[in-house]
Amino acid sequence: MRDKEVVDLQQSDNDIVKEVLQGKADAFCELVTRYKRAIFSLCFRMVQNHQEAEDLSQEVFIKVYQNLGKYDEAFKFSTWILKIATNTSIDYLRKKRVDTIPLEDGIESKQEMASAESIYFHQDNKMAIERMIQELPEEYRLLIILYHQQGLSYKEISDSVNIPMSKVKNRLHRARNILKDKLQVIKEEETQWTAKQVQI
Amino acid sequence: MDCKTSSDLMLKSIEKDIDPVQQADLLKHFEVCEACREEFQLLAELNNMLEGLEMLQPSEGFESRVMSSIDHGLYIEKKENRRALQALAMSIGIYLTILLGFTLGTDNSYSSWFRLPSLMQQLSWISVLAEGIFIRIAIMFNYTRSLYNLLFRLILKFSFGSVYVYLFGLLILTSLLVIINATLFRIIKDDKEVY
Repeated sequence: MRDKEVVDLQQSDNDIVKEVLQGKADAFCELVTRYKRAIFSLCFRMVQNHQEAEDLSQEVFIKVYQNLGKYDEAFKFSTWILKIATNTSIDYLRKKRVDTIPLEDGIESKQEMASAESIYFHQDNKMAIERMIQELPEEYRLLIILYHQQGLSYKEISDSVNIPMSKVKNRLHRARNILKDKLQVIKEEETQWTAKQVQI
Repeated sequence: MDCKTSSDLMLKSIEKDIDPVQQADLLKHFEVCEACREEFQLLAELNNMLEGLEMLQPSEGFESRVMSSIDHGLYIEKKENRRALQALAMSIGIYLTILLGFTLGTDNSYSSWFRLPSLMQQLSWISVLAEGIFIRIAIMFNYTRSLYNLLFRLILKFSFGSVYVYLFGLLILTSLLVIINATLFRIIKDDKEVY
């Protein structure tokens, strides 16, 4: 009951948006506080660099502020802000790929990757899954983050990334299969590694 | 149940979107198919790992950095622009109303306000009135549109308060009215001299 009262007292995202649109720019700070972790997590998992993720998150919030007048209350504010973060991250990665990354950087033997994953797995399960997600193709990685970390439904993801729901389901299915295969490889390596340790 | 159906149901089960009958069928299949059972265990483990992904925190002072990067006056200016537009619309309304007053008040042929006009006179009066309105609208759109655009752009460019904007608009319109008034009087005077 007490919790409910607290929830009721808290302003809704839409109320804050209205305040900002009425000229109270300082109210926007509350939205930044509410969504900074979600946006930063998404950006970090997409770009894999703390500083770049912070800059990108900042860019997302500036875009959100500038386009607040276009926000349609028919959608959840969280879905709308994640949509902006998604598009900003994709644009950034696309630009970065064109500008900087030489082709050789992408070349790494499967065996090397598997070994690295295996080491990560021994160190920390969390790091292993982070690494596995990093290695997913961009469009799969994004969907995995939106579904599993941000907790968006298929419909919300479909609205966010502007692809049909059937495609969202298919890509998520494929992404999970890729991750599952990677996990299997790691587990097999782990078994071999444990066997070697026993022999030593 | 075949392995293909089992594979589809596994995802449903992971997403907790499976009905009890399908769940029971799936469990039965696992009893006889080791490969599917292992696959399901792997998927469940993977799902747990994904659900356990942590929310990451940006560095200290992130909010302050965002707040110092945004344009705090963005929506205030838009509000003021709206007010300026309202003031301008009001000014144009007053201008047109007074212009109409001049038309009725200065036209000698139809200025018998206190006499009851005949039916023909009434019809004629209405047609002249309508003609006057149409002519003024046409003139306004053809010749003074650019003047209004210029005025509007000028007003938006400067960040006056709505009262100042209104006074400025009124001043311009009063000047226009004085010029129109003088011109009309001159025309009437010339007409009288002719007759």
